[in-house]
Amino acid sequence: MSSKDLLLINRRNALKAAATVLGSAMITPTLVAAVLAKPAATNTAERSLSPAACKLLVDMCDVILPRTDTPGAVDVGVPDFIISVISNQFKPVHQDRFLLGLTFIESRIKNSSFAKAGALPDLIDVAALETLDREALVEGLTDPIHSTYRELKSLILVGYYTSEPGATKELKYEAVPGAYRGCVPYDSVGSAWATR
Amino acid sequence: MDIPVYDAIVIGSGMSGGWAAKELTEKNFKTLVIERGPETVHGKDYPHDFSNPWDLEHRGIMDEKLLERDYFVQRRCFGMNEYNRSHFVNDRLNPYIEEKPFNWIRGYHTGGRSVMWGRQSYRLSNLDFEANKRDGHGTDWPIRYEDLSQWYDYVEDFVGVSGSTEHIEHLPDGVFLPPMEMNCAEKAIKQRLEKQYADRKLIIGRIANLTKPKPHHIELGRGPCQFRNQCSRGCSFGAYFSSLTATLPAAKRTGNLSMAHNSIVKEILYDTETGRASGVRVIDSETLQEREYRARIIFLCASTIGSAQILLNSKSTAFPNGLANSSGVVGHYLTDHLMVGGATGVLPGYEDQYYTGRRANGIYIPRFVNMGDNNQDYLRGFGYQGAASRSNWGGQKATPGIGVDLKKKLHDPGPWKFTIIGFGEMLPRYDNCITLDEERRDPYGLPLVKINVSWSDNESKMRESIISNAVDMLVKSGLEDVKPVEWDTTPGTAIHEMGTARMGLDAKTSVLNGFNQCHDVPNLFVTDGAAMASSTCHSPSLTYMAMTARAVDYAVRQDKANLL
Repeated sequence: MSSKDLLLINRRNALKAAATVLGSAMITPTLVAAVLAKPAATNTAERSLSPAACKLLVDMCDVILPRTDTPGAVDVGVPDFIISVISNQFKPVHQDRFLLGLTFIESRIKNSSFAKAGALPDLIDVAALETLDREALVEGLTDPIHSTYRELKSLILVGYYTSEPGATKELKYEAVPGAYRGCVPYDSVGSAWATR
Repeated sequence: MDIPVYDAIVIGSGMSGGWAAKELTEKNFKTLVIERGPETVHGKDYPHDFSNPWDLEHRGIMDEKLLERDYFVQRRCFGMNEYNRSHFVNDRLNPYIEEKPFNWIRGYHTGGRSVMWGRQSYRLSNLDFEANKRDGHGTDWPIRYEDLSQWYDYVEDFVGVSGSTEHIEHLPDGVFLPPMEMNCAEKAIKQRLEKQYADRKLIIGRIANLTKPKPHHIELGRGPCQFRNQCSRGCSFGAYFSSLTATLPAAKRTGNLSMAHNSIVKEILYDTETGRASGVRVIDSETLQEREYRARIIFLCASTIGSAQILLNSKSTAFPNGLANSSGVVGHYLTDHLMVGGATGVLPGYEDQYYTGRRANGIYIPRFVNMGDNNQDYLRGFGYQGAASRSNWGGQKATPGIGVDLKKKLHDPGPWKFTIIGFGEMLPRYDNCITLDEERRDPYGLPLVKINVSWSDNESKMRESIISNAVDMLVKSGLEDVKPVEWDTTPGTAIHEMGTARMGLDAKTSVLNGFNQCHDVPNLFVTDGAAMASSTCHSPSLTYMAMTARAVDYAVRQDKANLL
């Protein structure tokens, strides 16, 4: 898979592309609405991700916040969320910057030996991802690959912990707490609150 | 067509306008409230009152294209988010000119900015009221604490202000509902800080949220705070004070209230024969038709900049430079608060402690500089707002690691973080002003407001002091990893504009007397932030409310005595 596959494609192809890559079960009503609700090609922002970029996002979500005894990022639809944010909420220059950064990430973390063999081309080189993570978040490097990685990881966290399973199963959430108690034993809560 | 006639007209339905409406209607004045924005209905027009994070398609991440097109100023406000965006103005449709950068954050709808306000509610003291006289900056306040204290009592009781009684001379106690609770970290830091500094206190914030509603709150349909910490979205429980939850419903039940929405005041009309304001001319924002209303008393409560804009645009042969502007100071002496940073640190320990509920309030460290033996190389002072909390995933996005380890780390909250941010007094200066640009016009044909405000040396020195004192206090209170918070803040960002029609004893140098009555026009009162002769370092809304109630009391007595 070459980096140029990650370039932007027209929004009208985005739904088809996402369906191809993710399988139709992954296409939530939310994503359908996001892609189809707006009139096509009214401005340059009417663009979305290529199938290759979508696939990379799915793989990264899966590795960064995997399923454990609670759902993982892919289970709760984080890839859809990120695709929709990039497609709908980012301005074009931000989309371009983000997707270019994604090509750098891809070339760093895709498992080259598998890719060359033509088998399981989607597997991520976890050691390479850990190195990238350390460079971006421990060493604080500021190259485009690192800033894009930080942004992507942040989006994965937002998508996961603001999802209903992320907020209520992995963490704790109360829509209407009704009271504030300033000092309670941590064990009586048992996890971080999902919202502040 | 007959021009509708009322006993009183109130321009603006926000914090001050709501109070003017309540007080006037309760004194049996047939009152018209003119609001430039559309009608907002309590409950119905809070689109995200009950939204969970996952109910928003983009989970609160905003559309950058929309922000650039329609919210290019409002987005600079720390408080705007996707959940409350509908309460902020569209900048494209509401232009103004920044001669120097100025963030004019607004809400044009019933209730104005009382719908999204920060709710911190502190009384001024004579340290504030005597400040101008003491150092010669600004005009001496024609009132003192003694003039306002009973009116603070009166409005606090109606508003419902939660707070603790502290016996601090320069931060007078009020009529409080039970205070909110400090968390473990805040209690510990309070103890350490007060031990280290004999001249400093750390108290729970005083805030206009109902911790324990009184019967008169419940009668208006208001209920207790649910600790959701999302007040600015609007709260169907009516737990925080706004014009929508409190003053306008109180005015409505008298049967004396009329409202005119979508009505942009073009000018206040002046009758040369009587020497009085005779009415108001508005532009209907939907039809662009002009209409007039008449009344014998007018309360101008259109916000600090909005009220000055209306006065400056109300020109007549008697007042060629704008109504009630014989002094020439209308639009001048505009101030905001100096919200430019503080410090943040980590309190070690207490990791077996947490909290439940989301407290929409923090702590307050009242002013301690330029008092008693404390003398600085700048004038006036500041206080700090702050809070301690344990960060969740949102505050730990930079956590290194991936996979199961990362998930495990983010399952638990981080250490106790404590942050304080200063709110400093800005000196009133003539050069900081708004004027009207007769060449450039808004979509309704009115001259655009030009804002020209900058910080002075005094603010620069105070900024250093705010940050260094914050760092010192946190270090001495045993916090670790203490870092300064340093913001390069544009004026306007604190959303505490004040001073454009200042009070004063002398009609030659001020616009209003001590009852918020125009020196030049006896039946015209200005009771919003425009009246403030100095900004003080306190969140100002409570003072606008007290001044408004007092001004209505005075106006009605004068009216009965035929003196208006």
